[in-house]
Amino acid sequence: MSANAPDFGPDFGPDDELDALLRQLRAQPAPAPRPFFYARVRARLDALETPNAPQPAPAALPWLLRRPAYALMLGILVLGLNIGAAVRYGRPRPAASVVAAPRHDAFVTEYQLDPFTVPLPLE
Amino acid sequence: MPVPVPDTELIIQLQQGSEAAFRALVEGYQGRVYRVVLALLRSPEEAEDVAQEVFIEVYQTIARFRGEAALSTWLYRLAVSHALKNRQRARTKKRFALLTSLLGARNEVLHHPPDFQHPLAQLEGQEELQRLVEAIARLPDQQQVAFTLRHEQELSYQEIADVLQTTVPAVESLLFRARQTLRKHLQPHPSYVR
Repeated sequence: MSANAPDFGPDFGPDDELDALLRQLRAQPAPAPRPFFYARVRARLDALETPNAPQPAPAALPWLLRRPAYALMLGILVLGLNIGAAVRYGRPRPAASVVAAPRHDAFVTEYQLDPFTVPLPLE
Repeated sequence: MPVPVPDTELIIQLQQGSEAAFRALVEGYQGRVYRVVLALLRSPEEAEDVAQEVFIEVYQTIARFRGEAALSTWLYRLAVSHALKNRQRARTKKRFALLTSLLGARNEVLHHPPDFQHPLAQLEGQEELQRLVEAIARLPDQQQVAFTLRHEQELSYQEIADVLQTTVPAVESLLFRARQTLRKHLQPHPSYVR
């Protein structure tokens, strides 16, 4: 069949490669569940209906020791934070440089004015 | 295998808690439920597990079944819904497989399942069939369900519409698009044809 031919579905369309394959697929033996399927369903139902299902014994180890991956990740996180803090704050600070006083302060100092009476500059 | 008692009678007996009726239901529908689930999950172990879950749900909720749909429709609906949920869970699990295997509560190791060959297409020399099965598996969920119910279970359009809780034209559209997609997948790639 041409690829451009209109397709109206299996019930209307021409017989093409896809339909042939589908027929071939349907002709194969149908898969089935393993034998005694009902017995396994019944067993699961019985297990669900049994109120005293065995509970796992409480583990003696602390939670973090039973989860080594979590403990490792927590350790890496704490270590990373510490290294970050050490790098950030352990860096030698530059000597306190003489920071130029703001122009207003310099003016007040130079003219020995009373800083409380001189109006603040408008910003 | 055909169900020996009519569905309406079976439902009444099931609602009365009849063990024999439940057995008849399971034995009558296990093949159909299993095949639908297998077609969607492509793993015999998972399909069996999900098929069991379907019948457990039937057993637990049959009292609430009001017979608005046929029993078979309800079973197909449950089978499709359980299979799709299971597949979604498996995809999510696979996506986070490494993390889950490291941090999982049971310290379980997750393996990627081997490539599954549909039992219908395992015979030698049936590569075309295997390609078809793989192409069907790549269809969007709704199209795949409609296509499976139509071509593997041979349900009518109306029955498929009932299972998917949609209309017959919507089913026709799903099937049409599914066939278009499958045609494209099954055509030999132009770059390989010399």
